[in-house]
Amino acid sequence: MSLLDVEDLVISSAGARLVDGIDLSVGAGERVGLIGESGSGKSLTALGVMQLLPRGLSSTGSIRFEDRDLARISERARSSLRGRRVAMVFQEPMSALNPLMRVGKQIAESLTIHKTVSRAEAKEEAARLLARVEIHDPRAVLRAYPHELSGGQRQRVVLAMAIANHPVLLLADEPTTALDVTVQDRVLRLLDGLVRAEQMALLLISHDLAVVSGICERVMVMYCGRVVERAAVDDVLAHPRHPYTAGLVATSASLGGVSSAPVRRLQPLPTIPGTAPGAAAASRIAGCPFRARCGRATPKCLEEPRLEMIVAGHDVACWHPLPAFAVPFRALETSGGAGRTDVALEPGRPEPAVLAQAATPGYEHASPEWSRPGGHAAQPVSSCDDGATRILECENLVKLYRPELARQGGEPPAGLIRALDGVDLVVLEGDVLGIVGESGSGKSTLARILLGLDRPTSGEVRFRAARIDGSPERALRAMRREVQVVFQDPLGSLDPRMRVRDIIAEPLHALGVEGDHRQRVAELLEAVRLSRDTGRRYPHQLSGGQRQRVAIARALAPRPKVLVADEAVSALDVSVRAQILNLFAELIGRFALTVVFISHDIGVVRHLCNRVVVLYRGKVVEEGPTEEVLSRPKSPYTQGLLAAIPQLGKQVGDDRAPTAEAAPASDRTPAGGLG
Amino acid sequence: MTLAAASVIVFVVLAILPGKPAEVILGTQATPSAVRALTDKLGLDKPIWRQYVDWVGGIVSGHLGTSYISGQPIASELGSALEVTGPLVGLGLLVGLVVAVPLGVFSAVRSRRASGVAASVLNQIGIAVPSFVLGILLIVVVGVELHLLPTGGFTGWSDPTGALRSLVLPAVALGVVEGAIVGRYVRTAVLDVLSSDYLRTARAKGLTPGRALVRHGLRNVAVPVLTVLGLELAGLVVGAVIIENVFTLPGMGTLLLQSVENRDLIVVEDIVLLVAAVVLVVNFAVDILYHSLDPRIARER
Ligand code: SF4
Repeated sequence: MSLLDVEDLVISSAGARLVDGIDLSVGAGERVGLIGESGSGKSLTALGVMQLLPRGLSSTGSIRFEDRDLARISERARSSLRGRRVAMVFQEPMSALNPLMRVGKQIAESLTIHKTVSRAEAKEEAARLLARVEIHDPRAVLRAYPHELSGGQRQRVVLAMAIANHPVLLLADEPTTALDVTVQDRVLRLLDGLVRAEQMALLLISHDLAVVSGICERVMVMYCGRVVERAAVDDVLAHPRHPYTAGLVATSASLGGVSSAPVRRLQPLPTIPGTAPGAAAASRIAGCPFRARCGRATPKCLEEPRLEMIVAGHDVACWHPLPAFAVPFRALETSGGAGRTDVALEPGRPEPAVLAQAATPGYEHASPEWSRPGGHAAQPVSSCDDGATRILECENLVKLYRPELARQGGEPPAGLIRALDGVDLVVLEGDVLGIVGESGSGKSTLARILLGLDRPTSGEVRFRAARIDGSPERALRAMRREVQVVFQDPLGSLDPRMRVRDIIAEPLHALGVEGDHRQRVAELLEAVRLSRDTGRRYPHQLSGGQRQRVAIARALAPRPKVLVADEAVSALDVSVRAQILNLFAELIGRFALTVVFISHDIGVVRHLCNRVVVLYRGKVVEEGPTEEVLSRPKSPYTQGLLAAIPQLGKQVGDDRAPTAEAAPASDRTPAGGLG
Repeated sequence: MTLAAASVIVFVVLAILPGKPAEVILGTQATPSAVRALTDKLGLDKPIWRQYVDWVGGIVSGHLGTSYISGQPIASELGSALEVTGPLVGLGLLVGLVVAVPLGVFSAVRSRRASGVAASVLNQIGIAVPSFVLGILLIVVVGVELHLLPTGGFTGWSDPTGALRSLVLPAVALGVVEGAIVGRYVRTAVLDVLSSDYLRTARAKGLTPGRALVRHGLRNVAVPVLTVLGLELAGLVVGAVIIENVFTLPGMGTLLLQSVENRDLIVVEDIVLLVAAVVLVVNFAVDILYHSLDPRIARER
């Protein structure tokens, strides 16, 4: 008898089945991962288990937890189990805490709800809990309000509340997705350690296979509200049997991890073509929901496949599951000197990703665009070649902010915060420059200054040898046309009341570009691989990946020379992220773009950039050709960044580089409007 | 500063109003010489800036001046009027909150059920009905038909129960309408809180829905509602002017109307200035409360 046994869980909203009959079991002390893209119903499943569904959603099915059916017992009885026997950690550390209540009180409340303790005792215990989650100054944090803490600290606080009563089951919904890579790494380690020490069972929900594989023993893959594959983590990584899972494994393998072998820049990453229809739409699709994207589909797939066991402990919902691979994933990892990434990108080798594609024709990998000669012709020469034109450069940039947003609990900054502290940077024509840094590193400030949207406190910025810092807006017009930007949050940067085609045409109007705008919009839609009728839709009708394509199309509209991408793929699911990275690679070749690619994740930079600059606390700590920086990082900070990237099959905490000390505590850097 | 601007505006507007006070006071039969004599006596022939300086100077030194008509010091007239209007507004606010908070919370919590929708509709009706109509209705039903409470007049505070009894109906008429308006804001704020992540966290800790809302919701609801309440209090004062006339209460509203009719300008000016001062004080109080409620704002100061 498992600890948690969910049977035929259906969650529906206004007739649409968002979660469509899920079975799920977690044994005592077991760690299970739930994988899926946004909209796959994975978070709803967890909320369904807790019976904390958003208003307007209802569920059926049985949820047996410790011999009681959570769906049948009274709300009062459920409340007494929540937080005591089963606890949950949510994704958004920003909004998960009550903004008007001190952190200490919120933690103490977790205790006082379930047992009678004096106020002083609860406070003592809260301080101990904060120490457990490795908060450095528990006393100060107890007195702080949530907005005074950094994202990592807030997530630790939420974790402290969850473990306060030593629950037997912990549900963690994307607990680290909103965090920087190094913070994510540390929070994951903490989670892993706590779960083991407390012998809790864990249901970890994530879009990132690498995160799940580092902690969990078993994994379930969800697609469109259904479980499509269920097996031990090692099994799934080595022999993914469902075509969707195979695609995910291939994508994750190529995105995560660092290899010592040279990286092939601008080579396509394996991805799954198309977009998930979303659970609501999928409930109207007859047959296998993955059919439209699946290379193995046959007429049989018009019938819905059921989750069935193919070998002991491996269940798949597919009529034509992939054969088990000859070479397991784990073996590849250690085989020869060749790193995984190399293998993943070298056709013909028996690597899961490649096999998956061979078995499922139609992966973007095989897309004919890549065979076009133009795709590689524009590959820029690496390193600082002074023969090339300097297109954008800055010298000794300093930007000071007033420390209005300084927090309690951290070191109070005396005087001004240095967002940028003497940054020199050169972008050559044809460069694809990666700027890597975490929140607080000053990378976003740097982006704004490079774009002429903000002024440096001192130092020079030049575009084509002309000073742009401090120039009046009118003088910047020419530059505005040649330098375009793509931001992180596509929904936030697109006007919700404008149609896609108007959004794309907007910069043409704004910059007074002549010509047939409709024709240009059609070209751009084609360039970013959106269908023509996408032009008539509104941003909220699109998926995250599609929105980012729209943002890219808009940026390309005035035929810029330079594209600045600020965290352009950070908010996207892993599978979509690979698609957008491929698109960037393709566009760079096709339009001979010079790109400044800003990210907190050094892993995503690797596929695009010929040069990398690593920023830490407003200073450049490392700079050089991508390969060199990634394979032989000199600064300990870069080493920490590299080690923190979650990798498929790498257990959380089993390090290759001694990073725990070297990694700077960006948890403790000021959380304010920097970076 | 705001108060000074208000005083100037009030003074200028009233000065250019048609109808000379002296003529009105003495009636249509008055001889021109009598009018001139009175004008002289009241200081109305002085240049307008001089009149203004005299008035403000008086206020600053604590003298509100004397009424043109009754010759009484205005301070005492205002004082007795305040004894009625102050409690009326206070009671109205109380009634408003008693209406707004349960109605708003209920219609939000039950927003997906028939009872919540009904509460919401009731709320809308409350907004649509003007307070004086409600007042007349209350007079007819409670006062005339049922003989439960007095329908008008005021006996003074020497008889506290009698005074309170005569204030009940007007306060209800005033408060219900204001409460309905505030209730809408309460509903929106509660809906926001109900869908917030931190409330979900609170539920996940093991709080029952009701306790989660009380412990984590109410303070978060209070922040936006407080702002509205500050603005609505001004509306309450204006509403009181009308309601006092419906219930023939000798409050500020009645005094104001009389004084306007009689061109008793100094009284009008004093009342308007007083109301402006009250609104300012209230807004200041709201601001302070706001900062004590929301630590995020407090920090920015
Ligand atoms: S082979 Fe058929 S059943 Fe299997 S995933 Fe593809 S479409 Fe679905």
